[in-house]
Amino acid sequence: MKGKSALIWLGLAGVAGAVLFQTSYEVQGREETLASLNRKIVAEQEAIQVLKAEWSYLNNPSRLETQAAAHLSLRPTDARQFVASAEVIPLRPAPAPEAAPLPPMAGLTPAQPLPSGAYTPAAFKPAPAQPAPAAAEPTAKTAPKVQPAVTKPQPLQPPPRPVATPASVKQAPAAPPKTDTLGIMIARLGGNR
Amino acid sequence: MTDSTLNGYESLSAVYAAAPTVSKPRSSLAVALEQSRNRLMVTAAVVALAFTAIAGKLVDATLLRNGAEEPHQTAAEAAASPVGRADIVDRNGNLLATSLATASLHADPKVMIDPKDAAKKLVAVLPDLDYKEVLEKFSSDKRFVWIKRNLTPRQQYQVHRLGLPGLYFEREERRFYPAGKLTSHVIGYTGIDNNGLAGLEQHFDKRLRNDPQPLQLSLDLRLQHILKKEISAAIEEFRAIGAAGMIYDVKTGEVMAMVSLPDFDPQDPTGLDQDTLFNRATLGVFEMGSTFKIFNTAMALESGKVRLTDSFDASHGIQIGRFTINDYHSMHRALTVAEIFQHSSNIGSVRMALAAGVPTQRAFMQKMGFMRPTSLELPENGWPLVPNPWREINAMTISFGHGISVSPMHTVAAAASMINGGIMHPPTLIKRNPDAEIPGERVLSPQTSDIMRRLIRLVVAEGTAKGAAVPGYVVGGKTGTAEKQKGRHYVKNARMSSFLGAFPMHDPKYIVYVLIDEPKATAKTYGFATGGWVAAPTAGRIIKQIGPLLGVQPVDENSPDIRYAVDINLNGTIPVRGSTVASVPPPARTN
Repeated sequence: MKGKSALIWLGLAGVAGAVLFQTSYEVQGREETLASLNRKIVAEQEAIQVLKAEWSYLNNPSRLETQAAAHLSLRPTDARQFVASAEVIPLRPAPAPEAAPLPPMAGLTPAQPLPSGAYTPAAFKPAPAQPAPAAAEPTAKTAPKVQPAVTKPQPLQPPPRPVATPASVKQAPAAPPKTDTLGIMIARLGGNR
Repeated sequence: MTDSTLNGYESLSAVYAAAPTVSKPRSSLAVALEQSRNRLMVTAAVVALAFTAIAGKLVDATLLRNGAEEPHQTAAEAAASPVGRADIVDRNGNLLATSLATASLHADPKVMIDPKDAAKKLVAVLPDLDYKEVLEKFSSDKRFVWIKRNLTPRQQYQVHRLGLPGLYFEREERRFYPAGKLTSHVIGYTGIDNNGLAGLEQHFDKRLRNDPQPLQLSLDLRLQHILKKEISAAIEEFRAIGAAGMIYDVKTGEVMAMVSLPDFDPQDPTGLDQDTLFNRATLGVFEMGSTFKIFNTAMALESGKVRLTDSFDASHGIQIGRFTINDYHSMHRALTVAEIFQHSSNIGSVRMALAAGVPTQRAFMQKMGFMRPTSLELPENGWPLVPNPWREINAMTISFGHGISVSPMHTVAAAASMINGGIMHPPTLIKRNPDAEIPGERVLSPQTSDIMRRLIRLVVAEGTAKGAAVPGYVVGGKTGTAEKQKGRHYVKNARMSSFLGAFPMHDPKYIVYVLIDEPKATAKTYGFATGGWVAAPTAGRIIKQIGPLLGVQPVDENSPDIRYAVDINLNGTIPVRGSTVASVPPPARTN
């Protein structure tokens, strides 16, 4: 009897020990995973820091200004372009039925012709919805005036704009490869001291 | 117990029972047995103890890991910065300065197998290295040589891919300024060990080291760019030797842009002369010239001894000793306070200052903060040069901005208090918490401040600074031209031309300050290089561009409401509401 209970206790102790060791090794394994994850997180954070710096470098106002001048036909806003409220804006007369599709926005070529009259301010009036040709009848006299509110003396089909190809990207010293903006940044900001 | 002798047939128990109570001397065998048993017991106990100790230690070492390295129990913080020095960002969160972890390449030549091959391969990957130099380093007897500091991640990857034995990387940190030269004087720079050596990097060195949160400045990168672009253009146009510019929020005391030219690359601040490193906007103290008439007029009106409707004789110069104070744009007649300000009359200003009194002037200038450095968070913060003792002659020259030297920052901060309703806010480069109360101290009555706004508007509307006018933004301002002192004399053709502009004048929000150092006249300016010709148009161009960015609503400058808020009659009366007749400007006089 005595021997049996001793055996049971011994067995229990053995099982407890085994479970303890098992748990311990599992914890060690997880800690290793944690450590490697931590290392990865730090590496990613460093990479994010680098990307942030690169982003800020590429968003430098001087660079943006040059880029905007080269690729956009937008200009800085002027005081006279601001109005106090929407009511001050004169509504554009509804276009005549034969009115051509809206001139493209400056510097943009619309892929397909826009439905005529659909985008004029007149179409947004709370007046009863009317088909465009019917609405145009009373204003037929004003038809010749149909012009965009703001026009630019620009050809409707602008010459194909230079597309930024890797070849046209300005190159700092030949050292860093083209796509290595950070390398260019370092080279430009004084290099490796 | 019986004494009968044993016959050999008694049971064992009987034998023991019959044993004598008095122990007999034991045989030597029994003693030996006893002894060896005891020894065995002791040995077993010791061994058991040792095994227990070993088992305990084993459990301790394997399960509890006591004495082993501390387990990593904390996960890496997601928001924590992986670098040692905090970022500096502008008011919109754009990075101005950041630290990047880079790898530096060093080598152990002893481990190199083939130095020639290694050098060849390395130079192929890092083309800016010199083959001969690298080979020399690889062939040396040292155990440690630096090859290249601060590689980019891509370069590190390429070098790593070579798989050359004996090449090692060391993690280092490098301070980067993505905005480059744009903020060089404000941000300053750091040394090779990333310690701040100038500008905010130096002033906030401890803060940047200890607190990983980014330091948010009041600067706006876009305004900074516009300001720098325009004053660089002015430098080029007028072949000036330097310039300073500032955009300042008059209601909070925040500096929104600060530029000093010539500037430098904070990435590589070595080998620069003092002039380039010199911050003209804060460290430089200059005689401000006519810009000081803002303070002189406010002082005279605030003292109560001069009324707006008073007029002063400005027909003749004032003789003091061997000097004569004259007017640049002389009117040769008596002028009202408004006309003195409008035409920037030195004579009139002197008479106003004398009417107010020397001690009043001194006390007022002290209130303006012209006796000590400003509260700006820059180590480059200049001490003003003030006369001591403050005599009548000093009071006379100070009335038109000579004989006292203050920094542009002083001038701008004090001028802000003249037009914002009379509250002097300490200037700062750190973005103010919008919920917190803005520190400030009343230095001027709201009534005088209102008059000052009208006078400042008058100068742009029909005075010396018409070039600064921008339709829609109701600009006001005051020009200043001071001859530079070289040695003991003033030099005629070396000037500091400045313009202090504010907009919109019906509710002043921002000050734009431009100072051009030694501009040369051009044909376009008809041979003038004064503040009105040089600095005012530059400020006008700046306001035109920053107005939309700052969300200032353009207004019709001729609407009755605006005219009522900013007009002043030359005889010193303020137009009554509704009477537009009184505010019609008089026919232009010929100067």
